[in-house]
Amino acid sequence: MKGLLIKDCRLLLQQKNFIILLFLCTIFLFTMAEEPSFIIAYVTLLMVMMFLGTVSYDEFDNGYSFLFTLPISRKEYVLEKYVLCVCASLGAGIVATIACLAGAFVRQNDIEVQTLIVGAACILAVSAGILAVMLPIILKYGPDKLRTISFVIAGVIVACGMLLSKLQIPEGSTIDLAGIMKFIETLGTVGIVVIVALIGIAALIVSFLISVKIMEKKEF
Amino acid sequence: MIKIENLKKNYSKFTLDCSMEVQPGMITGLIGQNGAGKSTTFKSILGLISMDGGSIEIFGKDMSAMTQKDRQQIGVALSDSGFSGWLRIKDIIPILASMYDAFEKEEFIQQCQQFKLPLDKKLKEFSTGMKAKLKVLVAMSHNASLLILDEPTAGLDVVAREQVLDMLRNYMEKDENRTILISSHISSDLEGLCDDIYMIHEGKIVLHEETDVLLSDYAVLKVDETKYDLMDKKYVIKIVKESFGYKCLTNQRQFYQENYPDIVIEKGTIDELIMMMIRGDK
Repeated sequence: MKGLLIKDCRLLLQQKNFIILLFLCTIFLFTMAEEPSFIIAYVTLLMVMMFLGTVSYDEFDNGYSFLFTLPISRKEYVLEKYVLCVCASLGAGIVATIACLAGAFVRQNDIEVQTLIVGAACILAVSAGILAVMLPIILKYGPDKLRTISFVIAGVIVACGMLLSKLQIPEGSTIDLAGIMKFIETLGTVGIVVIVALIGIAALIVSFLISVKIMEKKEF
Repeated sequence: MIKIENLKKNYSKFTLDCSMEVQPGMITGLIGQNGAGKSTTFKSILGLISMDGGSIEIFGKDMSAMTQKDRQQIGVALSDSGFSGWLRIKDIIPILASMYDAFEKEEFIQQCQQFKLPLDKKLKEFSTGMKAKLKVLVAMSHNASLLILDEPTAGLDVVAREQVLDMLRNYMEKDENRTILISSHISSDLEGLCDDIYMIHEGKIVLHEETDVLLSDYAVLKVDETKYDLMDKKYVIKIVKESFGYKCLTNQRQFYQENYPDIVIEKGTIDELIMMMIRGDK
Protein backbone atom coordinates (compact mmCIF):
# COMPACT_ATOMS: atom_id res chain seq x y z
CA MET A 1 0.00 0.00 0.00
CA LYS A 2 2.96 2.29 0.62
CA GLY A 3 3.75 2.41 -3.08
CA LEU A 4 0.16 3.36 -3.92
CA LEU A 5 0.18 6.11 -1.31
CA ILE A 6 3.43 7.47 -2.74
CA LYS A 7 1.91 7.37 -6.23
CA ASP A 8 -1.18 9.31 -5.16
CA CYS A 9 0.81 11.86 -3.16
CA ARG A 10 3.09 12.42 -6.16
CA LEU A 11 0.04 12.82 -8.40
CA LEU A 12 -1.56 15.26 -5.98
CA LEU A 13 1.62 17.31 -5.89
CA GLN A 14 1.05 17.89 -9.58
CA GLN A 15 -1.95 19.96 -8.49
CA LYS A 16 0.15 22.24 -6.33
CA ASN A 17 -1.34 25.35 -7.97
CA PHE A 18 -4.80 24.18 -6.94
CA ILE A 19 -3.58 23.48 -3.41
CA ILE A 20 -2.04 26.97 -3.17
CA LEU A 21 -5.31 28.46 -4.43
CA LEU A 22 -7.25 26.44 -1.89
CA PHE A 23 -4.94 27.64 0.87
CA LEU A 24 -5.33 31.30 -0.19
CA CYS A 25 -9.12 30.94 -0.39
CA THR A 26 -9.16 29.43 3.08
CA ILE A 27 -7.11 32.30 4.49
CA PHE A 28 -9.47 34.76 2.77
CA LEU A 29 -12.52 32.97 4.17
CA PHE A 30 -10.87 32.76 7.55
CA THR A 31 -10.50 36.53 7.72
CA MET A 32 -13.94 37.28 6.26
CA ALA A 33 -16.36 34.57 7.29
CA GLU A 34 -18.23 34.88 10.52
CA GLU A 35 -19.30 31.26 10.60
CA PRO A 36 -16.36 28.96 11.46
CA SER A 37 -18.25 25.77 10.64
CA PHE A 38 -18.55 26.98 7.05
CA ILE A 39 -14.74 27.20 6.77
CA ILE A 40 -14.36 23.70 8.23
CA ALA A 41 -16.95 22.29 5.81
CA TYR A 42 -15.39 24.10 2.84
CA VAL A 43 -11.85 22.91 3.51
CA THR A 44 -12.84 19.34 4.42
CA LEU A 45 -15.11 18.74 1.45
CA LEU A 46 -12.68 20.31 -1.02
CA MET A 47 -9.89 18.06 0.23
CA VAL A 48 -12.12 14.98 -0.05
CA MET A 49 -13.04 15.89 -3.63
CA MET A 50 -9.41 16.52 -4.50
CA PHE A 51 -8.25 13.17 -3.12
CA LEU A 52 -11.14 11.35 -4.77
CA GLY A 53 -9.79 12.79 -8.02
CA THR A 54 -6.78 10.47 -7.81
CA VAL A 55 -9.04 7.69 -9.14
CA SER A 56 -9.31 9.67 -12.39
CA TYR A 57 -5.53 9.61 -12.76
CA ASP A 58 -5.49 5.85 -12.25
CA GLU A 59 -8.26 5.22 -14.74
CA PHE A 60 -7.08 7.67 -17.39
CA ASP A 61 -5.53 6.21 -20.54
CA ASN A 62 -6.28 2.62 -19.55
CA GLY A 63 -4.01 2.99 -16.51
CA TYR A 64 -5.76 0.35 -14.42
CA SER A 65 -4.42 -2.48 -16.60
CA PHE A 66 -0.81 -1.72 -15.75
CA LEU A 67 -1.58 -0.75 -12.16
CA PHE A 68 -2.99 -4.19 -11.42
CA THR A 69 0.01 -5.97 -12.90
CA LEU A 70 2.05 -4.47 -10.04
CA PRO A 71 2.31 -6.57 -6.86
CA ILE A 72 -0.85 -5.16 -5.28
CA SER A 73 -4.25 -6.74 -4.80
CA ARG A 74 -7.48 -5.05 -5.78
CA LYS A 75 -8.55 -5.04 -2.12
CA GLU A 76 -5.33 -3.26 -1.22
CA TYR A 77 -5.98 -0.66 -3.92
CA VAL A 78 -9.48 0.03 -2.56
CA LEU A 79 -8.19 0.18 1.02
CA GLU A 80 -5.53 2.69 -0.01
CA LYS A 81 -8.17 4.97 -1.55
CA TYR A 82 -10.25 4.88 1.63
CA VAL A 83 -7.22 5.44 3.87
CA LEU A 84 -6.06 8.34 1.69
CA CYS A 85 -9.45 10.06 1.51
CA VAL A 86 -10.28 9.52 5.21
CA CYS A 87 -6.86 10.86 6.25
CA ALA A 88 -7.33 13.87 3.96
CA SER A 89 -10.79 14.55 5.33
CA LEU A 90 -9.76 14.07 8.97
CA GLY A 91 -6.56 16.07 8.55
CA ALA A 92 -8.32 18.97 6.82
CA GLY A 93 -11.20 18.96 9.33
CA ILE A 94 -8.93 18.90 12.38
CA VAL A 95 -6.55 21.57 11.05
CA ALA A 96 -9.48 23.83 10.06
CA THR A 97 -11.13 23.35 13.47
CA ILE A 98 -7.92 24.17 15.34
CA ALA A 99 -7.37 27.19 13.06
CA CYS A 100 -10.92 28.42 13.75
CA LEU A 101 -10.47 27.99 17.49
CA ALA A 102 -7.10 29.76 17.40
CA GLY A 103 -8.55 32.55 15.24
CA ALA A 104 -11.43 33.06 17.63
CA PHE A 105 -9.01 33.10 20.55
CA VAL A 106 -6.76 35.70 18.85
CA ARG A 107 -9.70 37.89 17.84
CA GLN A 108 -11.23 37.33 21.28
CA ASN A 109 -14.51 36.36 19.63
CA ASP A 110 -17.16 34.70 21.62
CA ILE A 111 -17.17 31.14 20.40
CA GLU A 112 -18.74 28.12 21.92
CA VAL A 113 -16.05 25.48 21.74
CA GLN A 114 -18.45 22.59 22.29
CA THR A 115 -20.77 23.70 19.48
CA LEU A 116 -17.81 24.09 17.14
CA ILE A 117 -16.50 20.62 17.92
CA VAL A 118 -19.91 19.01 17.49
CA GLY A 119 -20.30 20.95 14.22
CA ALA A 120 -16.85 19.78 13.03
CA ALA A 121 -17.71 16.17 13.95
CA CYS A 122 -20.94 16.41 11.96
CA ILE A 123 -19.07 17.86 8.98
CA LEU A 124 -16.56 15.00 9.16
CA ALA A 125 -19.44 12.51 9.33
CA VAL A 126 -21.05 14.15 6.29
CA SER A 127 -17.74 13.99 4.41
CA ALA A 128 -17.45 10.30 5.43
CA GLY A 129 -20.97 9.81 4.08
CA ILE A 130 -20.06 11.54 0.80
CA LEU A 131 -16.95 9.39 0.54
CA ALA A 132 -18.93 6.26 1.35
CA VAL A 133 -21.38 6.99 -1.47
CA MET A 134 -19.02 8.42 -4.06
CA LEU A 135 -16.06 6.05 -3.95
CA PRO A 136 -18.03 2.93 -4.95
CA ILE A 137 -19.77 4.94 -7.69
CA ILE A 138 -16.46 6.24 -9.07
CA LEU A 139 -14.93 2.77 -8.94
CA LYS A 140 -17.96 1.18 -10.59
CA TYR A 141 -18.80 3.71 -13.29
CA GLY A 142 -15.62 5.75 -13.58
CA PRO A 143 -15.08 9.44 -12.86
CA ASP A 144 -16.68 10.50 -16.17
CA LYS A 145 -20.13 9.31 -15.18
CA LEU A 146 -19.78 10.62 -11.64
CA ARG A 147 -21.22 14.04 -12.53
CA THR A 148 -24.41 12.59 -14.00
CA ILE A 149 -24.83 10.15 -11.12
CA SER A 150 -24.15 12.93 -8.56
CA PHE A 151 -26.97 14.99 -10.07
CA VAL A 152 -29.31 12.03 -9.81
CA ILE A 153 -28.30 11.36 -6.18
CA ALA A 154 -28.62 15.07 -5.27
CA GLY A 155 -32.07 15.07 -6.89
CA VAL A 156 -33.13 11.99 -4.94
CA ILE A 157 -31.86 13.52 -1.66
CA VAL A 158 -33.70 16.81 -2.31
CA ALA A 159 -36.87 14.93 -3.25
CA CYS A 160 -36.62 12.81 -0.08
CA GLY A 161 -36.04 15.97 1.99
CA MET A 162 -39.08 17.65 0.48
CA LEU A 163 -41.20 14.58 1.09
CA LEU A 164 -40.01 14.31 4.68
CA SER A 165 -40.71 17.99 5.34
CA LYS A 166 -44.31 17.48 4.19
CA LEU A 167 -44.76 14.48 6.40
CA GLN A 168 -46.61 15.13 9.59
CA ILE A 169 -46.51 12.97 12.61
CA PRO A 170 -49.97 11.45 12.79
CA GLU A 171 -51.93 11.97 15.92
CA GLY A 172 -51.57 9.19 18.41
CA SER A 173 -48.08 8.36 17.07
CA THR A 174 -45.65 6.91 19.53
CA ILE A 175 -42.72 9.02 18.16
CA ASP A 176 -41.68 11.36 20.93
CA LEU A 177 -39.62 14.12 19.26
CA ALA A 178 -39.19 16.06 22.46
CA GLY A 179 -37.92 12.91 24.13
CA ILE A 180 -35.41 12.33 21.33
CA MET A 181 -34.11 15.89 21.61
CA LYS A 182 -33.82 15.49 25.37
CA PHE A 183 -31.89 12.25 24.91
CA ILE A 184 -29.47 13.99 22.50
CA GLU A 185 -28.94 16.76 25.04
CA THR A 186 -28.12 14.26 27.76
CA LEU A 187 -25.43 12.68 25.55
CA GLY A 188 -23.22 15.76 25.87
CA THR A 189 -20.51 16.82 23.41
CA VAL A 190 -18.43 13.66 23.73
CA GLY A 191 -21.45 11.40 23.34
CA ILE A 192 -22.66 13.17 20.19
CA VAL A 193 -19.19 13.18 18.65
CA VAL A 194 -18.78 9.45 19.39
CA ILE A 195 -22.18 8.57 17.89
CA VAL A 196 -21.57 10.70 14.81
CA ALA A 197 -18.11 9.15 14.41
CA LEU A 198 -19.54 5.64 14.74
CA ILE A 199 -22.15 6.37 12.06
CA GLY A 200 -19.39 7.70 9.75
CA ILE A 201 -17.16 4.67 10.40
CA ALA A 202 -20.06 2.23 9.83
CA ALA A 203 -20.91 3.93 6.52
CA LEU A 204 -17.26 3.73 5.45
CA ILE A 205 -16.94 0.04 6.34
CA VAL A 206 -20.08 -0.91 4.38
CA SER A 207 -18.92 1.25 1.47
CA PHE A 208 -15.43 -0.33 1.55
CA LEU A 209 -16.86 -3.84 1.36
CA ILE A 210 -19.04 -2.83 -1.61
CA SER A 211 -16.06 -1.19 -3.34
CA VAL A 212 -13.90 -4.30 -2.90
CA LYS A 213 -16.63 -6.41 -4.54
CA ILE A 214 -16.89 -3.88 -7.39
CA MET A 215 -13.14 -3.87 -8.03
CA GLU A 216 -12.82 -7.65 -7.78
CA LYS A 217 -15.47 -8.08 -10.47
CA LYS A 218 -13.95 -5.50 -12.79
CA GLU A 219 -12.11 -6.55 -15.94
CA PHE A 220 -9.37 -4.46 -17.48
CA MET B 1 7.27 -21.18 -16.01
CA ILE B 2 3.77 -20.58 -17.40
CA LYS B 3 1.35 -23.38 -18.15
CA ILE B 4 -2.00 -22.58 -19.72
CA GLU B 5 -4.48 -25.42 -20.10
CA ASN B 6 -7.70 -24.98 -22.06
CA LEU B 7 -8.02 -21.34 -21.13
CA LYS B 8 -11.47 -20.14 -22.16
CA LYS B 9 -12.81 -16.63 -22.37
CA ASN B 10 -16.07 -15.84 -24.09
CA TYR B 11 -17.08 -12.49 -25.52
CA SER B 12 -20.13 -11.88 -27.66
CA LYS B 13 -18.23 -12.18 -30.95
CA PHE B 14 -15.01 -13.86 -29.86
CA THR B 15 -14.02 -16.97 -27.98
CA LEU B 16 -10.54 -17.68 -26.69
CA ASP B 17 -9.67 -21.32 -26.24
CA CYS B 18 -5.96 -21.86 -25.87
CA SER B 19 -3.30 -24.00 -24.26
CA MET B 20 0.38 -23.15 -24.21
CA GLU B 21 3.50 -23.54 -22.13
CA VAL B 22 6.44 -21.23 -21.55
CA GLN B 23 9.59 -23.08 -20.51
CA PRO B 24 12.10 -21.64 -18.01
CA GLY B 25 15.08 -19.90 -19.59
CA MET B 26 13.29 -19.47 -22.92
CA ILE B 27 11.94 -16.55 -24.88
CA THR B 28 8.53 -17.56 -26.15
CA GLY B 29 6.75 -15.45 -28.72
CA LEU B 30 3.04 -15.19 -29.35
CA ILE B 31 2.10 -13.98 -32.80
CA GLY B 32 -1.18 -13.36 -34.51
CA GLN B 33 -3.27 -10.79 -36.27
CA ASN B 34 -4.92 -7.91 -34.45
CA GLY B 35 -7.86 -9.35 -32.55
CA ALA B 36 -6.54 -12.91 -32.70
CA GLY B 37 -6.49 -13.22 -28.90
CA LYS B 38 -2.94 -12.22 -27.92
CA SER B 39 -3.96 -9.49 -25.50
CA THR B 40 -6.82 -11.57 -24.07
CA THR B 41 -4.30 -14.35 -23.34
CA PHE B 42 -1.91 -11.90 -21.69
CA LYS B 43 -4.68 -10.29 -19.65
CA SER B 44 -5.77 -13.72 -18.43
CA ILE B 45 -2.22 -14.59 -17.39
CA LEU B 46 -1.97 -11.29 -15.53
CA GLY B 47 -5.33 -11.73 -13.81
CA LEU B 48 -6.77 -8.60 -15.41
CA ILE B 49 -9.78 -10.48 -16.73
CA SER B 50 -11.68 -13.46 -15.36
CA MET B 51 -11.51 -16.85 -17.03
CA ASP B 52 -14.55 -18.78 -18.21
CA GLY B 53 -12.68 -22.09 -18.02
CA GLY B 54 -9.32 -23.79 -17.90
CA SER B 55 -6.33 -23.10 -15.70
CA ILE B 56 -3.18 -21.02 -15.63
CA GLU B 57 -0.12 -21.94 -13.59
CA ILE B 58 2.77 -19.57 -13.05
CA PHE B 59 5.94 -20.74 -11.25
CA GLY B 60 4.11 -24.06 -10.78
CA LYS B 61 1.33 -22.41 -8.78
CA ASP B 62 -2.27 -21.87 -9.72
CA MET B 63 -2.86 -18.18 -10.43
CA SER B 64 -5.28 -17.82 -7.54
CA ALA B 65 -2.57 -19.03 -5.13
CA MET B 66 -0.03 -16.43 -6.27
CA THR B 67 1.27 -14.28 -3.43
CA GLN B 68 2.52 -10.72 -3.74
CA LYS B 69 6.07 -12.06 -3.37
CA ASP B 70 5.42 -14.27 -6.41
CA ARG B 71 4.08 -11.29 -8.32
CA GLN B 72 7.28 -9.40 -7.55
CA GLN B 73 9.00 -12.01 -9.71
CA ILE B 74 7.06 -10.88 -12.77
CA GLY B 75 7.89 -7.81 -14.84
CA VAL B 76 5.21 -6.53 -17.16
CA ALA B 77 5.07 -4.13 -20.09
CA LEU B 78 1.77 -3.48 -21.85
CA SER B 79 1.53 -1.56 -25.11
CA ASP B 80 -1.62 0.34 -24.18
CA SER B 81 -1.10 0.98 -20.49
CA GLY B 82 1.55 2.22 -18.09
CA PHE B 83 2.19 4.60 -15.24
CA SER B 84 0.09 7.77 -15.22
CA GLY B 85 1.30 10.34 -17.74
CA TRP B 86 1.35 12.99 -15.02
CA LEU B 87 4.17 11.21 -13.18
CA ARG B 88 7.87 11.63 -13.91
CA ILE B 89 10.57 8.97 -13.73
CA LYS B 90 11.73 10.47 -10.45
CA ASP B 91 8.19 9.93 -9.11
CA ILE B 92 8.16 6.33 -10.32
CA ILE B 93 11.43 5.41 -8.59
CA PRO B 94 10.10 5.56 -4.98
CA ILE B 95 6.91 3.77 -6.09
CA LEU B 96 8.90 0.87 -7.57
CA ALA B 97 11.28 0.87 -4.61
CA SER B 98 8.42 0.36 -2.17
CA MET B 99 6.64 -2.23 -4.30
CA TYR B 100 9.60 -4.43 -5.26
CA ASP B 101 12.10 -5.69 -2.69
CA ALA B 102 14.68 -6.30 -5.42
CA PHE B 103 14.30 -2.93 -7.18
CA GLU B 104 17.71 -1.83 -8.40
CA LYS B 105 17.51 1.92 -8.13
CA GLU B 106 21.01 2.84 -9.25
CA GLU B 107 20.94 0.55 -12.25
CA PHE B 108 17.48 1.78 -13.23
CA ILE B 109 18.59 5.42 -13.14
CA GLN B 110 21.76 4.54 -15.03
CA GLN B 111 19.76 2.76 -17.75
CA CYS B 112 17.31 5.65 -18.02
CA GLN B 113 20.25 7.96 -18.55
CA GLN B 114 21.80 5.57 -21.04
CA PHE B 115 18.60 5.65 -23.11
CA LYS B 116 18.32 9.42 -22.68
CA LEU B 117 15.09 9.28 -20.71
CA PRO B 118 14.73 12.51 -18.70
CA LEU B 119 14.05 11.91 -15.03
CA ASP B 120 12.08 15.09 -14.41
CA LYS B 121 9.80 15.25 -17.43
CA LYS B 122 6.17 14.12 -17.30
CA LEU B 123 5.66 10.78 -19.01
CA LYS B 124 2.84 12.20 -21.16
CA GLU B 125 5.46 14.43 -22.79
CA PHE B 126 7.63 11.43 -23.75
CA SER B 127 7.79 10.28 -27.38
CA THR B 128 6.38 6.85 -28.30
CA GLY B 129 9.90 5.39 -28.35
CA MET B 130 10.79 6.86 -24.96
CA LYS B 131 7.58 5.51 -23.42
CA ALA B 132 8.21 2.03 -24.86
CA LYS B 133 11.81 1.95 -23.59
CA LEU B 134 10.72 3.10 -20.14
CA LYS B 135 8.05 0.37 -19.95
CA VAL B 136 10.62 -2.31 -20.71
CA LEU B 137 13.13 -0.77 -18.27
CA VAL B 138 10.47 -0.74 -15.54
CA ALA B 139 9.65 -4.40 -16.24
CA MET B 140 13.36 -5.28 -15.96
CA SER B 141 14.09 -3.03 -12.97
CA HIS B 142 13.43 -5.50 -10.16
CA ASN B 143 15.29 -8.62 -11.17
CA ALA B 144 12.12 -10.44 -12.25
CA SER B 145 12.51 -14.03 -13.37
CA LEU B 146 9.58 -13.75 -15.78
CA LEU B 147 8.89 -10.89 -18.17
CA ILE B 148 5.48 -10.65 -19.81
CA LEU B 149 5.65 -8.16 -22.63
CA ASP B 150 2.62 -7.37 -24.76
CA GLU B 151 3.67 -5.67 -28.00
CA PRO B 152 6.66 -3.86 -26.43
CA THR B 153 7.85 -2.67 -29.85
CA ALA B 154 4.48 -1.41 -31.14
CA GLY B 155 4.74 1.94 -32.90
CA LEU B 156 8.54 2.10 -32.78
CA ASP B 157 10.91 2.83 -35.65
CA VAL B 158 13.55 0.25 -36.65
CA VAL B 159 16.31 1.74 -34.49
CA ALA B 160 14.18 2.01 -31.38
CA ARG B 161 12.82 -1.51 -31.93
CA GLU B 162 16.32 -2.91 -32.15
CA GLN B 163 17.30 -1.04 -28.96
CA VAL B 164 14.36 -2.58 -27.08
CA LEU B 165 15.21 -6.05 -28.39
CA ASP B 166 18.85 -5.58 -27.37
CA MET B 167 17.71 -4.63 -23.88
CA LEU B 168 15.83 -7.92 -23.70
CA ARG B 169 18.78 -9.95 -25.01
CA ASN B 170 21.06 -8.37 -22.41
CA TYR B 171 18.51 -9.11 -19.70
CA MET B 172 18.41 -12.77 -20.67
CA GLU B 173 22.20 -13.06 -20.76
CA LYS B 174 22.53 -12.13 -17.09
CA ASP B 175 20.66 -15.17 -15.75
CA GLU B 176 19.94 -18.41 -17.58
CA ASN B 177 16.68 -18.99 -15.70
CA ARG B 178 15.10 -15.74 -16.82
CA THR B 179 12.10 -16.25 -19.05
CA ILE B 180 10.20 -13.98 -21.42
CA LEU B 181 6.75 -14.28 -22.95
CA ILE B 182 6.45 -11.66 -25.66
CA SER B 183 3.85 -10.80 -28.25
CA SER B 184 4.34 -8.77 -31.37
CA HIS B 185 2.76 -8.36 -34.75
CA ILE B 186 6.18 -7.48 -36.17
CA SER B 187 7.41 -10.94 -37.03
CA SER B 188 11.01 -9.97 -37.73
CA ASP B 189 11.32 -8.88 -34.08
CA LEU B 190 10.38 -12.35 -32.92
CA GLU B 191 12.44 -14.21 -35.55
CA GLY B 192 15.64 -12.79 -34.14
CA LEU B 193 14.68 -13.07 -30.49
CA CYS B 194 12.46 -16.02 -29.64
CA ASP B 195 13.38 -19.62 -28.95
CA ASP B 196 9.90 -20.83 -29.79
CA ILE B 197 6.80 -19.29 -31.24
CA TYR B 198 3.09 -19.85 -30.76
CA MET B 199 0.72 -18.61 -33.39
CA ILE B 200 -2.81 -17.69 -32.39
CA HIS B 201 -5.69 -17.25 -34.79
CA GLU B 202 -9.33 -16.54 -33.96
CA GLY B 203 -8.71 -17.40 -30.32
CA LYS B 204 -7.00 -20.74 -30.96
CA ILE B 205 -3.34 -21.76 -31.03
CA VAL B 206 -2.82 -22.94 -34.60
CA LEU B 207 0.92 -23.53 -34.51
CA HIS B 208 3.74 -24.06 -32.02
CA GLU B 209 7.28 -24.52 -33.22
CA GLU B 210 10.87 -23.74 -32.30
CA THR B 211 12.01 -20.65 -34.20
CA ASP B 212 15.07 -22.43 -35.64
CA VAL B 213 12.88 -25.23 -37.01
CA LEU B 214 10.41 -22.71 -38.33
CA LEU B 215 13.08 -20.87 -40.25
CA SER B 216 14.98 -23.94 -41.44
CA ASP B 217 12.31 -26.56 -42.16
CA TYR B 218 9.28 -24.53 -43.12
CA ALA B 219 9.03 -23.35 -46.72
CA VAL B 220 6.55 -22.20 -49.31
CA LEU B 221 6.32 -24.24 -52.50
CA LYS B 222 5.11 -22.50 -55.62
CA VAL B 223 3.77 -24.97 -58.17
CA ASP B 224 1.58 -24.95 -61.27
CA GLU B 225 -1.46 -27.20 -61.47
CA THR B 226 0.33 -30.07 -63.27
CA LYS B 227 3.17 -30.23 -60.74
CA TYR B 228 0.68 -29.85 -57.93
CA ASP B 229 -1.26 -32.89 -59.12
CA LEU B 230 1.92 -34.99 -59.32
CA MET B 231 3.46 -33.78 -56.07
CA ASP B 232 3.42 -35.83 -52.87
CA LYS B 233 1.35 -33.73 -50.46
CA LYS B 234 1.93 -35.63 -47.24
CA TYR B 235 4.12 -32.83 -45.79
CA VAL B 236 1.93 -29.98 -47.03
CA ILE B 237 0.27 -28.14 -44.17
CA LYS B 238 -1.67 -25.43 -45.98
CA ILE B 239 -2.58 -24.70 -49.56
CA VAL B 240 -3.52 -21.41 -51.17
CA LYS B 241 -4.87 -21.20 -54.74
CA GLU B 242 -3.06 -18.57 -56.79
CA SER B 243 -3.26 -17.37 -60.42
CA PHE B 244 -0.18 -19.41 -61.37
CA GLY B 245 -1.31 -22.56 -59.57
CA TYR B 246 -0.83 -23.24 -55.85
CA LYS B 247 1.23 -22.01 -52.94
CA CYS B 248 1.84 -24.78 -50.42
CA LEU B 249 3.24 -24.45 -46.92
CA THR B 250 5.42 -27.35 -45.82
CA ASN B 251 7.36 -28.20 -42.69
CA GLN B 252 9.69 -30.55 -44.61
CA ARG B 253 11.58 -28.27 -46.96
CA GLN B 254 14.40 -30.75 -47.49
CA PHE B 255 12.01 -33.48 -48.66
CA TYR B 256 10.72 -31.30 -51.49
CA GLN B 257 14.19 -29.92 -52.28
CA GLU B 258 15.54 -33.43 -52.76
CA ASN B 259 12.55 -35.03 -54.49
CA TYR B 260 11.24 -32.14 -56.57
CA PRO B 261 14.28 -30.07 -57.59
CA ASP B 262 12.35 -28.28 -60.33
CA ILE B 263 9.73 -26.63 -58.12
CA VAL B 264 10.20 -23.15 -56.67
CA ILE B 265 10.86 -23.33 -52.95
CA GLU B 266 10.93 -20.15 -50.89
CA LYS B 267 12.37 -20.18 -47.40
CA GLY B 268 9.72 -19.70 -44.76
CA THR B 269 9.46 -16.42 -42.93
CA ILE B 270 7.11 -15.81 -40.08
CA ASP B 271 5.15 -13.30 -42.15
CA GLU B 272 4.67 -15.88 -44.90
CA LEU B 273 3.75 -18.45 -42.32
CA ILE B 274 1.08 -16.22 -40.81
CA MET B 275 -0.36 -15.50 -44.25
CA MET B 276 -0.44 -19.19 -45.19
CA MET B 277 -1.83 -20.37 -41.87
CA ILE B 278 -4.64 -17.84 -42.01
CA ARG B 279 -5.49 -17.87 -45.71
CA GLY B 280 -4.65 -21.46 -46.52
CA ASP B 281 -6.88 -24.53 -46.71
CA LYS B 282 -5.91 -28.07 -45.88
